[in-house]
Amino acid sequence: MGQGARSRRAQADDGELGAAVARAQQGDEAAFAVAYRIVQPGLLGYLRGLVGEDAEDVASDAWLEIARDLDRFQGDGAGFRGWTATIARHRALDHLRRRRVRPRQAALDPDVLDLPAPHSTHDQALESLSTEQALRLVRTLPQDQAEAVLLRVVVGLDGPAAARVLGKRPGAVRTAAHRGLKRLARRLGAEDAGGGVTDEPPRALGESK
Amino acid sequence: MGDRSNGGDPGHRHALADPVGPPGGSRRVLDEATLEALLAAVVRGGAVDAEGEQRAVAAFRAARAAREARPSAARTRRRDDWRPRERWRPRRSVRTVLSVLLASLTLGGVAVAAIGSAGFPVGGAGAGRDRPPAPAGTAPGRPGGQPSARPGSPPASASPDRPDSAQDTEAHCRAYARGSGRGDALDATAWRRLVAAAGGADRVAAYCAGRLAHATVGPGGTPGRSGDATGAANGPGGTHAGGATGSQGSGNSGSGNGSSGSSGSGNGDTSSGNSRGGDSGGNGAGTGGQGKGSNGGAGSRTGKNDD
Repeated sequence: MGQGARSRRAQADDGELGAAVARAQQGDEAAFAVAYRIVQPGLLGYLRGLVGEDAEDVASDAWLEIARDLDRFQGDGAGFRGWTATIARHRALDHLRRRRVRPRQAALDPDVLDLPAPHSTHDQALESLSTEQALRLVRTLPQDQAEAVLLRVVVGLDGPAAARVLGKRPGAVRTAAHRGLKRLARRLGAEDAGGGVTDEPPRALGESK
Repeated sequence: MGDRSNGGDPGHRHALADPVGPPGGSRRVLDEATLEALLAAVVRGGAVDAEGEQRAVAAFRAARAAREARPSAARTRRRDDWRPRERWRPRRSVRTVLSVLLASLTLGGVAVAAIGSAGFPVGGAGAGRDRPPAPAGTAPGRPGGQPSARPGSPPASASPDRPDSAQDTEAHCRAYARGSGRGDALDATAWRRLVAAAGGADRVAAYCAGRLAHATVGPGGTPGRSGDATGAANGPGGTHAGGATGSQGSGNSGSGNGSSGSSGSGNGDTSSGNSRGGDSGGNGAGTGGQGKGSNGGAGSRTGKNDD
């Protein structure tokens, strides 16, 4: 997996994040807000991939738990990303379990997979990609690949941390992320050609097994 | 980060898209890093909403207040410990390997020691009995050659170099050491052979001490334990003044260690020499004393008979 600009930026944030978390553990409210602003975008993107449109609610639940248990946490900025991602994932899985009890139509519409400008290049296709389109694209992946891609690329975790969040071996997570990205690129190429190839029906991640 | 190990690999940034792509696009190649960056930017896109931040901070404030009311609540569980793993996980594994190694060495040492201590008396005798070449080599050189010195055993003296002769001698010496405390220690033939092998009745003790020390210490007896054996044997031999215990002490110590065997026989010599005024050698004094004791007993019996 290449070291993308995102993960490099996440690493640059880690120092500031670690300091903010340490201050928040001393009771600094403003520092906690700083940590929230650093972590929340990736967390929300991950949750959108997991639970779709309910991501905001699940994130809110997760932050309640994060604030409650902040004193228990030990680690640096990168560790805080992994810790919060674990909490968010548990909340998301709880949410999906509840939702499965009273099922409703998945908010997914395969038409949304139509990517803009069918004959543009990959880069142009990606640049004009909306958040929703990108997430739906990710959701077409098998769940392990989608989660691995989201944790690595969107949350900005390293391999071992992503593996710990998922409860899997680092090698398995690395392979899953690599395959997921490869499949995404291929799918973009297919969409790009205007073929509209969708060999798998898109679905919410948590509902796929 | 797994990224770091792979990030430096130039061959890793290969094309993700199918190289034989549709002809419409101008650039088919999309490397993984670009895809990651764009995906991250798109999915993470959008400003953090202030409302969510306010909710989180309010939750933080409430948690703080609850914590101050109950100060000792927070305890780090395993799932809360996200300190860097790469640093302490290998150290733990090294520590594990070292402790396992240490434990195996300790257990191995204990096992070897147990084998040694349990097997020493049996193994010492067995090794002395089974040890073929060294006694066979030394047997012809001892004082008083076998053919002339053993007149009463025709099959034994038929082959002068047979390895059994040395083992016979050692067995006799052991029987001598064991039985010298009792009256009828050795039958006449064995005793005569031993005397002949030693080159005289007064040299039997020294001869046997030398042979047995060679037989037991030679095949790997540990010095510390033989020292213990001689100490234990010397203790009773010195304190109890009887000639029987004195000579028995010398016999045991002779089998354990040569040098302390001589000192043990010296102790036995003084005690038994006082009581019986016997022979020159310590062990010889023991048997001599026994012989006299039995004679004395016979004398008293005859005295009774006379009454």
